[in-house]
Amino acid sequence: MERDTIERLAIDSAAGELSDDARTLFEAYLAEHRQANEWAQDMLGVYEETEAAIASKTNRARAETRAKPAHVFPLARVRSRLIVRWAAVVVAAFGIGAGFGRLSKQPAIGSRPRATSAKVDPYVRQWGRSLEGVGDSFWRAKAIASLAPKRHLAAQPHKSGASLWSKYRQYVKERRYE
Amino acid sequence: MVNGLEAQFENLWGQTSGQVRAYMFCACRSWADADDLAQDCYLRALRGWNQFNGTGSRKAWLFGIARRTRADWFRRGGKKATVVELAGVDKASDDPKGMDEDLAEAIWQAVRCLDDKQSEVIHLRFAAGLSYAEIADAAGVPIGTVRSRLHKGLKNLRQRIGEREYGA
Repeated sequence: MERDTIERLAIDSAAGELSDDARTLFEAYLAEHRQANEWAQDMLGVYEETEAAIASKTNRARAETRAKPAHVFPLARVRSRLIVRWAAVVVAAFGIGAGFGRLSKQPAIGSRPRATSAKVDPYVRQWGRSLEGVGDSFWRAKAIASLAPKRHLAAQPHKSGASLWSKYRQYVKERRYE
Repeated sequence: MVNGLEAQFENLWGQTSGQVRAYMFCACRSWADADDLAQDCYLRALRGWNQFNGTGSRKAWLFGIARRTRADWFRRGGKKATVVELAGVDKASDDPKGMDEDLAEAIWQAVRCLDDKQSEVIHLRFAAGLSYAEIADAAGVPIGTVRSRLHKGLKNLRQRIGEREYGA
């Protein structure tokens, strides 16, 4: 046999990849052929030295793994990553909500609502005149707002072009509610 | 997560974590990086758990993922060893049972300087302890190719370290 073949068989034998029969035959062959045996021993030396060198460098991996409980990692880390991801989503949603809330900020308590300002709204101006003696307070603003006509309710029955019949029906409806 | 899957996964983790870490350490030479790569590998395995088609072993499938994880690490800029000067390596050791540290370091460096395919097979064989069939499954090559790469890798190692260092 050629040297390459002998070396390959030696490697296979050392790696435990030869069947029992093949191994027996190979050993018998080496016993009969001194040169082949030297080649095989040479490659076996390389194999064992390489195995020992890598093992000496990587033993720590095996030692540390034995010490570490299996259930701690990696599932715990997977779960913690999921939790962190969800927490980030919640924080982001909170931030977006807070941003929108800040942009659409409501007037502070005690401030006068814009819609009830007598200087701006003609309806409020008209009804506010009767409350001029009350003063410029929060309750004045509320009173003006309550006195102002409800435009969304008032607009429809008094639309221009509404027929007499529809005006009468609206009148009957309002009477019924009263 | 389904309990059955969790149990299977933890079982695989318990059986292979040391080997995966060792295999990753061969690439990055840092335990911190090896831990990160191993974790990345197991996360990928967990995500693709149902993609295992049943051919070969789960372990070989996992090391296929480990190979890709390692390759991605190299692509992202992981350092590959440069060729080192191995002349003057002294095999003599005072401790007959132990291995001379210089020789171990020389072989370690020499393996890293081999052709990628050869060093990969050597790492899968010696660091991860995979059989030829498992290496073939993980690397997606025939067993004959694994055998050939291992032989060529060891021959090149012998050449690098020097034939006089090994002898009958």
